[in-house]
Amino acid sequence: MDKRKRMLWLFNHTSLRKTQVPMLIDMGYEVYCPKIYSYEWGDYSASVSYDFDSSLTLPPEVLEELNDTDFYSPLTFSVMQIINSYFDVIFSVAIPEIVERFLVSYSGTLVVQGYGLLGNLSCTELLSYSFNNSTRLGILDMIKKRRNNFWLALGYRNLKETEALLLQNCSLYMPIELVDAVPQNKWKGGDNRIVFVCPKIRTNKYYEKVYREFCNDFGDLPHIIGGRQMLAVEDDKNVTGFLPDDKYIYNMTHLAAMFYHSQEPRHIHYHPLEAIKWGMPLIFMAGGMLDHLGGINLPGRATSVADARKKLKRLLMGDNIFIKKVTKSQEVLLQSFNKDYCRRFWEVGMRKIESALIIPGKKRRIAVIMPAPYIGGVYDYAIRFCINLQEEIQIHRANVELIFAYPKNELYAEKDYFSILKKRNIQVREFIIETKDRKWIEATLELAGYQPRINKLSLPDTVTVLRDGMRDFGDCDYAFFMSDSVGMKPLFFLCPYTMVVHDYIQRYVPEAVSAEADRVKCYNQRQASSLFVTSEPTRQDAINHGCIDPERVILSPPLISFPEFNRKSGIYKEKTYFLWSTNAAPHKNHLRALDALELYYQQGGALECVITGAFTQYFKPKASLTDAPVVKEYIRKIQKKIEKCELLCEHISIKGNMPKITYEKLLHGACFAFHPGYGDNGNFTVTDAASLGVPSLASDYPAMRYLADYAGIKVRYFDPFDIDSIVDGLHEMEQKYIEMSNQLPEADVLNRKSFSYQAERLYQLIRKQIAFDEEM
Amino acid sequence: MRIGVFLGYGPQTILSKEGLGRYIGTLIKGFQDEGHSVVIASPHWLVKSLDGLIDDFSIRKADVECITTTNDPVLWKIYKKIFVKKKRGRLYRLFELILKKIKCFFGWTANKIAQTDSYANFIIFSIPFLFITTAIILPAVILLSVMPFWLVCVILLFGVLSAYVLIKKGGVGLDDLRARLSSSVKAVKSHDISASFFFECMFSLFRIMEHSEQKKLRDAINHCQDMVDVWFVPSLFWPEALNINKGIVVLNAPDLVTEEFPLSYATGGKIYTSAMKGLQFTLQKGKWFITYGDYIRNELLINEYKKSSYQVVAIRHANNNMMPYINIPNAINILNNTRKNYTKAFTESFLGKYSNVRYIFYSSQSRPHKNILNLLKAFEYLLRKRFLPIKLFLTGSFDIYKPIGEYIREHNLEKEVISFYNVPAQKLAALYYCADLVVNPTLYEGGFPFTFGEGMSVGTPSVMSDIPQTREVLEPAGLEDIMFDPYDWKAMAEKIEYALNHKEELYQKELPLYQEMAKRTPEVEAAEYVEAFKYFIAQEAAEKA
Repeated sequence: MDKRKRMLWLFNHTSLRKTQVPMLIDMGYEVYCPKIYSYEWGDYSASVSYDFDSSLTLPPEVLEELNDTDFYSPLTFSVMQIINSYFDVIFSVAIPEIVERFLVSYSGTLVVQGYGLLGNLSCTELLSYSFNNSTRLGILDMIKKRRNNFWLALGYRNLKETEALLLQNCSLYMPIELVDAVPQNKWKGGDNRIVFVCPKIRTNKYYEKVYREFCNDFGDLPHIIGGRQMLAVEDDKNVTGFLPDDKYIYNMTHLAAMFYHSQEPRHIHYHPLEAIKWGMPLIFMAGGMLDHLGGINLPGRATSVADARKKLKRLLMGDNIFIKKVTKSQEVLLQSFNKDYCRRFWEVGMRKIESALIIPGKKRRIAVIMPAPYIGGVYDYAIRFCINLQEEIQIHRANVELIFAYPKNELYAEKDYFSILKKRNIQVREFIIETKDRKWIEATLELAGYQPRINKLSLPDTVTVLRDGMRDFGDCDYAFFMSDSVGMKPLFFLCPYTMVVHDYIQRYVPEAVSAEADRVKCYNQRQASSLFVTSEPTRQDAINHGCIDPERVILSPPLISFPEFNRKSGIYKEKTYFLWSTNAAPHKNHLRALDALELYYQQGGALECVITGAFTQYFKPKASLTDAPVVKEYIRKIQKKIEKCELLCEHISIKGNMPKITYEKLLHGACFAFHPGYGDNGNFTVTDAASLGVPSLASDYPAMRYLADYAGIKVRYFDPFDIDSIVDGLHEMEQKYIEMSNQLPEADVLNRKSFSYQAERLYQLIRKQIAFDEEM
Repeated sequence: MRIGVFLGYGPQTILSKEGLGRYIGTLIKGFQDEGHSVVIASPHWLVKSLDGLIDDFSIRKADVECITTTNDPVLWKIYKKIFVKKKRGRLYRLFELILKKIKCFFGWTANKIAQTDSYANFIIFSIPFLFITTAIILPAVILLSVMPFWLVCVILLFGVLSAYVLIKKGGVGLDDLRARLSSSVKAVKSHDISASFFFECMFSLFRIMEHSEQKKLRDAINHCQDMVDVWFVPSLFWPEALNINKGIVVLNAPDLVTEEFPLSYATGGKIYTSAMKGLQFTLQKGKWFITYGDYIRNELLINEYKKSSYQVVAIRHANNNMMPYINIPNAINILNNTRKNYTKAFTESFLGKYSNVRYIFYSSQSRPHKNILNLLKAFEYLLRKRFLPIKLFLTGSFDIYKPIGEYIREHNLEKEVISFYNVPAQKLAALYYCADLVVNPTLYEGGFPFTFGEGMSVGTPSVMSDIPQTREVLEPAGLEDIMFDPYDWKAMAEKIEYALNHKEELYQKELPLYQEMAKRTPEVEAAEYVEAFKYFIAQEAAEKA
């Protein structure tokens, strides 16, 4: 090596550190070890060491910052920059969150070490299976696209068998070394008890079961049970707990034998190997890792409990010929833990890692996907999202290409809704939504190289697929879904993605979203690398309703656009109405609001009510609902309510949907804006109105308050479930709307909250989800 | 050098019609011309087809040593007897006609049974069915009752064995047998043969049979007395070749398209997944590889399958000159056909009613990664928004990849987009020759696409998609501006429109590259293969030393 390469060695395992770090330093690397570790899982084999810091050539302030970093938690931008600048290789523990963080943000060589997995578990599953029963395929896609600088270093040869093809291809055999793995033959015997090691009996179900089985099968033989206990096992005097060195040495040199229970084919504990080192006879169960390490014909191998008992009894009886046979033959098991043996493979592995072709950072492609045919709020959000992002990409000269995708729909045949994006050189792509069955999913995973280790149980039977007629977004490195409504079935999307969740209205208005649709939404959210929410209340809902890991829920700025219509244009001598901008969705609290209006007019309310919004034309009592795309039963109730009440017929004017400029004029001429809905992510009529100098009377719910506070708008709130409260609000606004209007912020102050001012913030949040190069 | 060529093709392959088959023919011819001796190993069922290839490419048969399996498997023989079409005699045709009429009669009767509201009619129309059922079942029952017991046992055993093979080796799990049967019924009803359980069973049986023949072939090679310097395996589909121990094994690794487009190819079900397993295995276990370009070498073999760079050599295709296929008297100046001075007689003979039509051309199979949908979008835009009076000629079938046919029908492009499916080489050459422009919108290829050289060899320039496989050739030649972003159909349309308006200029611009490419004759290519073989042999020897 021309210059010493620097490695971030992300483990706290004491024994691993004792062997691997000196070996790597000896091979010419500078190695940094993490200094912060929380023992929340009771991991006694972990520790922290400053021993190797003196060998580092890092600037002191950098070393200090790293030493203050908890690498098991999200990393700051500055730490990630340090890692990218100062480290050539990362050796990482196979914890999905940590691996994903580096896959996203680290551009050097990433090596994940895998050793000791229970059952048929593989690193593929470990990395892609999320705790809440969904498979996150995005992490595999990131590995696939890295190709040249991702490696899986496996501690045992047979670990490779269970990996998906993708990870098999990048796996290297880099065996685990054991300190002084040579037989020392210090065992003397003389204490007629067997030793069995079983830690954490009261705190770990696996060990509790192992303990019970041991007591059941071998409890009658004289024995002690070693291993640290978090809670003492008071009812069993044979359980010794943690022992001081002298007692430990006594046990390993004097007790008659060790019994090792594990039949895990791909996991082994250190203690049977320790026993072999001391020269103590080891009786172990067949079918476990020791078979693989050369133990298949050993005399200490027991094929059944009866066989093990028989062999242990012979050892307890002091059968010297058998003892010699066992101790001599078992030495073979240490061979693959030997320093020289391991070093040989590590040198080959590191050479392979070093010689991989490093392809210069290629242009990243980010897809912004509008998953359903929107033309309202979500459409506006998506367009603003793209404009902001594209602008920042150009300012920062980022090595990124942005594409926008929308579903094929007749709505978009009428006019070019996306010309604004095309003008900004954003590639626009159409896709269709298909539903596919389990057989297809499995075939896809197999072709993608993700089988055989994707947990089949976590896959749905039918899925929604987005087909763009090309690579089906396989050409994209990352995607941002502009909403969580993607088809009627769980989303199947190979590329990693962030999903924007605007609200959890189903939590507050259950009838607004069916239980099945909610289930699908939650599934889609859990598969996402992260969620973008635009208000703190929605963030809380994501955590508490969607059960999303708080670290993955990112509060992004709301993308507000204020009307271009000048608030000073048009002088109204006398304002005579207030504006209720709504739509025909059943969760908009119409019926209660109409009751309130009726009471308001009965009590002499003088202002007219003008209703506008998508499909509100169907509120008119005589309107035909034959082809109306609305919930007919609900709309009929509204029609009847208005029809039956003369006061409502007299005072309400229903305008239906209207062009934006007409709406703005209408809003400008209103005394105030009225918003009786709730449960959504806040209503933008309030911000529109404020910008036009018009105050608002709105339902009091957290997201509405968040939005108004964000924009600095003072709103007169009411309880949306209390008709009297609404009526009081209406009367008060009728009296005080001019006073309220004067308390609104100036237009330029408001404008600073508009989406264009949020571009940099949004861009930086996006860069945390998918790292890319910048020329600036 | 003694070069072995391992051909593990399945039955019914006509080598001289397969792209890869023709490629192999060219190489073998080149090896011979370079003075190397050639050994060809193939299953017995391929012998006839191989003879055809040898004839077509003027390979000296006397100098070719052949290794083959001893006989065809029984399954193939039976299948061939039943399903492979032969010329039928008059009597057979008469029998077929009668069978057809009977089928019609039963169809008519079944309709009547379904429609009738009278019991009398129901009974009358049911008679033919009762009759036919009795006529089939009765002889079978009689036959079984008179058969010796051992024969009944043999038949039953055969049935059980077949089921076992299907379940165990064919990968058919018992758990989903019921689900598969019901899905097969649905598939048959909807004429979706690819999803049919019966089709999958047949496919699995054939797969086992082919695999077993490849094993036998490998054993035959390993039992030969003489060593061969190198065994060249031109495909990744034959993993058994990896176990040849008479000489080093060098594999051609064209691409791994199914892995790049998993969502599209998953629709093909087992056909692709089982093939993929073989490919992946070969890529994992193989040691020496030849690719068609640097991109696949670096991305697939080195980065993905972690081969060392010395294990993989990239050899580009030889130029496919289409000129010899067009036998034009008086040697019309076709070096530059942007002036389109070919004769009416010539175009009419090949293109019939389309002889006066202006068109852009893409010769390719209809497969998802060929990006034909975007080409259709670009074409429709040029036709209907930019009013360019052109057609689009393709050579892929519209039925093989459904979205293409659907798009054409949905947008009423049936008369504008024409498929010349399965055309002979001469007509293909004529299609290139008469085209205004060759457009290649592909998203993925094993190497630099043939279409560029094929078009330029008869004077038609190209515009192509900007993918690494094309960029690695076009960028050094200063031809970046003949590329377009294949994911952006509008960009593709703009490039096509520009090219149509600057054909002459484009042709002149592309000519130097084509002239360079034209120097890559099959002989040059074969020599490069031999060089690669020598290099691998030296590497292997160095490793052993």
